[in-house]
Amino acid sequence: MRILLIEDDDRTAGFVTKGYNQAGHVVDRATNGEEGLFMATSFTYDIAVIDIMLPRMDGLTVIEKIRERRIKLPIIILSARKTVDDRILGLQSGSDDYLVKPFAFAELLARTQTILRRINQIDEPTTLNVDDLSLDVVKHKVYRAEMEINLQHKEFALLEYLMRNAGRVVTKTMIMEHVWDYNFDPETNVVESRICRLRDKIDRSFKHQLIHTVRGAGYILESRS
Amino acid sequence: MIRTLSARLTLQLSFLFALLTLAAFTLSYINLKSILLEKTDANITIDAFEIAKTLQTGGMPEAIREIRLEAEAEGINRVFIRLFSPEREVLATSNLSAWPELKIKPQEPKTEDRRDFTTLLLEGMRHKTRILTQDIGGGYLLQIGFLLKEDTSLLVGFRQGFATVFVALVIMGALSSFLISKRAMRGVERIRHIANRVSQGDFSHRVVLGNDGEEIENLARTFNQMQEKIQVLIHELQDVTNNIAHDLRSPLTRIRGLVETTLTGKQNIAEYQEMAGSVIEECDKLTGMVNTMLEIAETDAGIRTMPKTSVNMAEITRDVGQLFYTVAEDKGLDIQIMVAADPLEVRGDRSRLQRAVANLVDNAIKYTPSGGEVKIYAQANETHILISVADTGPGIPAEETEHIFNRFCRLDQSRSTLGCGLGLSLARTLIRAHGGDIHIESQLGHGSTFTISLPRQAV
Repeated sequence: MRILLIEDDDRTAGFVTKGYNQAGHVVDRATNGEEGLFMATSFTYDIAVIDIMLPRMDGLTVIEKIRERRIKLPIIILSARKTVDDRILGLQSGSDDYLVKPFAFAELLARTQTILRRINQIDEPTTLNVDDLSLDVVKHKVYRAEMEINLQHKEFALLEYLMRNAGRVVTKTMIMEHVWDYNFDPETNVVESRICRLRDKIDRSFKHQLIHTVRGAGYILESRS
Repeated sequence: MIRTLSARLTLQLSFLFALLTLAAFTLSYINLKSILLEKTDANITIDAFEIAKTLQTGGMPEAIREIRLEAEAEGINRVFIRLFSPEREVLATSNLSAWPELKIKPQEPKTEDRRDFTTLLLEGMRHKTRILTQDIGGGYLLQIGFLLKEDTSLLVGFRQGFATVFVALVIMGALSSFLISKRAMRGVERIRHIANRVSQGDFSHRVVLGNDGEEIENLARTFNQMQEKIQVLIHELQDVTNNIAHDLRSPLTRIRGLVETTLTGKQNIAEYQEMAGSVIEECDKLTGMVNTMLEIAETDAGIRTMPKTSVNMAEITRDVGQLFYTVAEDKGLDIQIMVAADPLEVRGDRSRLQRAVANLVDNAIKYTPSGGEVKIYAQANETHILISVADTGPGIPAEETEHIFNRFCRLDQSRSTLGCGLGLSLARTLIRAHGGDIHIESQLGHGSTFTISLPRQAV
């Protein structure tokens, strides 16, 4: 996938580029608004990630101009500003998502995938499979090595979220937001405790573990055998 | 344009004073003048009466003699008397040597009592003359003129005397107005002096209450109160800044230390990963803290417009209880959730109310030692929705219960406990933004109960 990154801060651009590269994507970077607009209108990209505060032309103007030229480019805005008004302004100007700095790269990656899936209208699979673990979204059933596992409602939602993002890191904040609809992270280890319960049911009695902790970053569900 | 208030007051007062003095003088002048005239008229009337009587009793020759005598008695310079026949020819006069050009015709009296008073400036005379023309019977007319020389000089003297006194009075009036207004403004000047110091950053001085009158005293008192409030706010701000600095420094020190010790030794990849993980954890904590601080500040300042919908607090409390259930269990706490069956509706922002409740539960779980219990209630009375979180933690000393909501407050005993101390502060800010409040009941050593009260939605 080809990604256009319009960001004037070298370090932010550096880690975003590195992250996307690791996930197998190609990144072109523009350091100011005018250059970014030129690149967005001259070449074809799958998605653009645009900072709001940019030299020469601010991010919102860049988005407006891109939309004026009827270029169908999915856009994610990055901003240090965090007010509801900004958010609305950002989405009204024609962007598809909005991320406030500082952010976890895992979250940017997850949102990128979600938007692309939505744009490309990839059907969500009704059965998710990782290794010998399988989850039936419709029937609400989970099997590991052909054995049915009983999960509570929230445990099921947590496992579904992890499996939809299989192979990618999900942060605690992302879990709180998607599974519990909370936009903040309590100081007590709520997520850790839930993951622990889920592990008891999914992993504990099996030879290889599927849910892994990535120290500091979050959790990842993948087969490492 | 006169700029100062005291100068304006002085000018206005002096003007008013002069105006009033002038009015008083004018009144007494008019009064004096009419008294003098009445006296003159009375004199003339008596003279006329006596001449008329003489004419009736003693005949014309006696009357002529009486005319001369009367005039001489009053002074021939002051008085003239003439008697006219029914044909209006002059029958007799007093000595007219002082009245050289007396040519006026007698005025025919038209009033019922057949007499007429008039005041004229006669030719060749320097003062006005009061003239009586009276029908004294038998067709005879008597004319008596009184020169108003003395009256006039009295009035002139009065006017001149007043002019002198008036100037002195106005000067004195202006002077005293000036002193009075200066004195009245003295309090204002004192306040200005202190305000000037405040504007230069010195908050330690207060306006000393003097004896300047109630208005100035009230102003001074209000000013002092305002200054005290500002001083407290500045102190709070300094405290918050200090606490932020402290709470930022600790994780920064940890991050630096972690990275430094990893870099200086020969480490394997696992240790680098461990370090990176720890650094992210610390950074996430810092980010959370900064975001919470912004959220508090913005909610406090009312910058964020809150989208308000109908929110079921029973459902929110149940959800929050469910969310924290496992973490409480892991810690060995007995958690009980008792929620009224009816929906407890308030108007507000769902995620913010959720956060406020969650912060209280979070706090209770954090500070309650293993083996304790946390009870969460949601109920309603007639006016309010009440959500209580009771714990069996260490409790809060009575004198700290207000302090506990301050930003970054962590009571001494809990300084070492994890967390940024902003949770309660944010919870209260959010609840207050919804028109509610949070109350604490606490017993040292036995636990605390935090109660959110929110006004019920008007049905």
